[in-house]
Amino acid sequence: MSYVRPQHLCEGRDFFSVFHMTTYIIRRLLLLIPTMLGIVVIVFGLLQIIPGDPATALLGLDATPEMIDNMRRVLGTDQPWIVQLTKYLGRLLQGDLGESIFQKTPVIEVVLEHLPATIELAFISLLISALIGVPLGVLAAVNRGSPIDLFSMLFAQLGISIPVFWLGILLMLWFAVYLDWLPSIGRGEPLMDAFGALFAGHPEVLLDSLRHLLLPAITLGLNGAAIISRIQRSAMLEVLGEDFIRTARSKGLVSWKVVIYHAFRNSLLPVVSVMGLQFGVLLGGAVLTEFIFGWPGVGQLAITAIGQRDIPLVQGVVLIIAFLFSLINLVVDLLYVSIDPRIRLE
Amino acid sequence: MTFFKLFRQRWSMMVGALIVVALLFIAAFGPSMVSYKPDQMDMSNRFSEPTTTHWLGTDNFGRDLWTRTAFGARLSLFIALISVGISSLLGTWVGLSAGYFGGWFDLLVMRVVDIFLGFPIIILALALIAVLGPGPINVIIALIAVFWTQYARVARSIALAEREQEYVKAAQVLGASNIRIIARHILPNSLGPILVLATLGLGTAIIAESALSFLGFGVQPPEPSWGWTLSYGMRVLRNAPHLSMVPGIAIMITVLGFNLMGDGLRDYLDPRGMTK
Amino acid sequence: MKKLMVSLLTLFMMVGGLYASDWHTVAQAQSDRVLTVGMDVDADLLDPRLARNTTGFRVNNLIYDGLVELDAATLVPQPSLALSWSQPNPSTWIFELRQDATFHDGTPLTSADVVATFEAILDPDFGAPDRGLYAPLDSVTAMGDFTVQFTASQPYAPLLSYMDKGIVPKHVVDAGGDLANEPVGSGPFRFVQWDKNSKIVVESNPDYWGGQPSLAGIEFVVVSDNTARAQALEAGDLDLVQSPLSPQDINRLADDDRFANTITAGFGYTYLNFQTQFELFQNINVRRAIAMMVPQEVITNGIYEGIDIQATSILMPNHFAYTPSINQPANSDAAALALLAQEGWTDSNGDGMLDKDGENLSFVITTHTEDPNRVQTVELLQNILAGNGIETSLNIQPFNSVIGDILAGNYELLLLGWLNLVDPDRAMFNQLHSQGSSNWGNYSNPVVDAALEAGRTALTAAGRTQAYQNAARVIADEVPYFVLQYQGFHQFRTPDLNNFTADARGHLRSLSEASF
Repeated sequence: MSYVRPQHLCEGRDFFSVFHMTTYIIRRLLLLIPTMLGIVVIVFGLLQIIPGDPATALLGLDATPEMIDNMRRVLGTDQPWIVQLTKYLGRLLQGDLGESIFQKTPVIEVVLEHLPATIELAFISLLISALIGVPLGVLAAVNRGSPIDLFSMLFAQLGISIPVFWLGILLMLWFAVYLDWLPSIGRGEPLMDAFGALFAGHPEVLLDSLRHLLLPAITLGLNGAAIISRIQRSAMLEVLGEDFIRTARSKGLVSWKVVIYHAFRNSLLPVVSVMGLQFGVLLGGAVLTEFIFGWPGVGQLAITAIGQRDIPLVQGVVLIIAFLFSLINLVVDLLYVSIDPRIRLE
Repeated sequence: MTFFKLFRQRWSMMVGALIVVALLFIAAFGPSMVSYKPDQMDMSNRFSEPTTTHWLGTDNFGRDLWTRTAFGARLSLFIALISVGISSLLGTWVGLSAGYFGGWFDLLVMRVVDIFLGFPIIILALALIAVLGPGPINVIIALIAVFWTQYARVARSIALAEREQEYVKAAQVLGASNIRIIARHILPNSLGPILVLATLGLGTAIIAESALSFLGFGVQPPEPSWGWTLSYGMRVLRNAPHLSMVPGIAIMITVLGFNLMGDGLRDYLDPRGMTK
Repeated sequence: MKKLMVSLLTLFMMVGGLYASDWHTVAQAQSDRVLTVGMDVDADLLDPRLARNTTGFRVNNLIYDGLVELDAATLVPQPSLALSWSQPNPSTWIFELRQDATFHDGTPLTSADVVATFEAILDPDFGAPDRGLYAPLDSVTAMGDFTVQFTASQPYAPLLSYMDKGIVPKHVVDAGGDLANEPVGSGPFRFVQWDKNSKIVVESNPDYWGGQPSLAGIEFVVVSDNTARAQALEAGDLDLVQSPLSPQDINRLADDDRFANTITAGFGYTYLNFQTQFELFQNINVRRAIAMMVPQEVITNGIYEGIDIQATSILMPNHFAYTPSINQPANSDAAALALLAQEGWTDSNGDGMLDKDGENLSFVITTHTEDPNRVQTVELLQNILAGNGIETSLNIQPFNSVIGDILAGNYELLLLGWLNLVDPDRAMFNQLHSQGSSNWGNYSNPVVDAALEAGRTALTAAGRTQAYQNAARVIADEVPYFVLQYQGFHQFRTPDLNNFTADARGHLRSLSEASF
């Protein structure tokens, strides 16, 4: 992946490139199959050799050997692993992710129940990342070498270096406990429902949701803000050094117009793509933040499921996150190509 | 070039290097500056704040936090260096071979890389630790499994570009063995980006180790792990804030040091910033 | 860019509009104050026959009714669904049910529901986790619409204490209803909503036979980190938190005037269990010596900061059988070393470590990661033992990783705890009877076996007391179990909550009578 050259966006596309794009998408989607299969097999293998089994985890310390044997029979974990894997794959082919051993609910339902919370958190924290990172990067690039630049680079370095779990606890202690401005844990109404409430005349519901979101989103977003500010800064610097900007300046266009209309616009592409990737990372990487703030997302779900040896649930969580992650990557790549025609599809 | 001028130009590398050197110094000589052993308990002096005898205070067992932090630095550096060292070696060789040979081998390697990249990494690491059990060596194994792919990717793309170069073709015509071509011609070209990646990776490894220990999936007591000390420190945040501040700041400064060094290296090796 | 913003906004508005229509109901329900309770784990299953974790027990305890209800303070069984009961002979119980109880779907609760509930629990294939408690039962039969007879194979004194098990609706089970996720009980609160890993909401039941509770509802919020949960109470996001809590938080909250608290002895103990099949620990004197080295006081007052109580024996102070006159070996390193020397363990090669026949004295201590106090305890213990020339390694893993090893007896010295020990039978029988289902340390002593059996079959309280004291005396002497602490119970809550009696088991049944 290389940085963008300035070029005015979206030239016309002929039939060939559209055709090319379609086959590319199909190829990428087909490539997902072996990847997903590999993930299933690896997770399955890991869970087979993990010490402890779902039956003992399920029954707890009061279990007797007969109860455990019974439970293994009921769960089907008494069968050889190859039989279990084949059965699982067979069901997977029919789109059936199985049933959670602990929650006795279809895996797909359990995951979909937790996914919105994670997406919401990832989305808002990405928004915060962009709101902090993009202006900071632009300011730093425009004022290269100034104290602003130094500050932005310092901020970026610290933001990348600070352990997210430490930051989370510090923020919680300060803003929730000492100052008592924000709730320390949990989630308000889902953001979508809260918007609904807003339109039904209950703005306080939305406010409550946002207040719950703020601390975990900042915790999660600071790291992204640091990354984005760096990318934004270097992309801006690169664009600012390009010929057409120099030309624009020489034509007597005032500097801030150049910055807004040309440089900023043309520097957005790498930033957008980083944000896309970051979103994917946040989907699976919010584990620690969710853990600290009691945020009911898939990260917490994954930890619980691994702890409980809930094999179908772990499989389902990992598969669905991996699938979404791959889709987002694909979309980012396509976005890249559609904006800058000179980047060719591999 | 005067030192000052060099410093102005390469400040991030210099500051990073300074931090890392200081860290190595503390890891090596810190414990001998005081007269405590890392596991020397004093239950009558728990949670002592920093004093002249206990520079950074004491922990929940009355152990000297300075000594523990210095030993913790050894542990963190050990885990980071070994895991990054092995994963970069492994990833580079796999990536270079894949890129150089191409064909089915490349296809196979890239599929495996895709599978590993498709995993949410922290979940993969957690599952691996759950399988292997906690402990430094198992943390290293989990980190290698998570990290090697990025080196493979970078090395592969470099090998893909280099194998088309004239000098590689010439070496092939002259009958040089493939191993030799990779080792003598392509590997040197990949060293820069890999070194940058590995330096940054050291910071990531230190955060990852402490995160795993924080969740109880990493290094265990009585090992003086920063992550574990931090996770316990959180519980006594208000009674003994130094217990979470010390390891938290230690982690942050260490990671900062490696990041600055990595960035500086990148600027140095590749002033136009094309790698990333 | 502008265009994008506009279309995004439009999208939000459209989606918002879709949700707006059914919003008012939720908003209305929020107008009455709901009690928010912090929980350390999410409930597992809201089916009382299958629930295994504490949150499951506590929520079920509000949604369902048992035949009896254990008094929050004394644990003496009180009438609940059963108005009265009689015992025509020592192994038969007859319960007369109240006739005004209905399930939340309006169906009357009858003896058929009671029979179906217990038949399922007794069915080995059903997988009820505490089936062992009811295993002595031979049959449960309906004698009429509102009379049920329980018959055991032999006298079984503790049975009444276990009769608080929630009764489930037979008709829902028969129709394939999903009680585990959509519970239907007859209790004071009705199930409303369950966001997995986040919260469970129940509302007061207007048709409750005991009268509609005054609280509009209860929201159980899951905050797994103990410290975060305490902070949430302080930040006003929770109305009630309770054990498990960190010692530091407990001591801080106890000094905080903004909260009412209950700090009392709980119904659990923390113990060290010696694997008696492990060669080293087959020797009673070695077990005694190790036990003597355990710095019980330092652990209790240092690590636990006094929130738990230093144990003297396996008998718990809030059990009827308790006596302070039975004592485990007292802490003394010198006496312990003398005892080990007597068994041949001395530092013969001068390396600072005890050895015998060329082998060092060493073993593994096992516990789980979830409880930081236990992790600290084994860390301290290791340090103390090392100072006495004993080499140990630690095996600390997530609970579900070690549970298999624990059940298989695959450990040497184990640190763990038992909860919910409402009867001395529950604190000793399964753990230390040679046929006990939880006797993973394979302890076997006919005297203890006989005493524990006598405790089950004795017909008088005095007889039971005598039996348990006899067993406890031998256990304290031979130390298969070394009980470290009686666990304390800690609850902090808003002072606005009136008429509430805390239950040291952590149950919240009294919320049905509480009000703001």
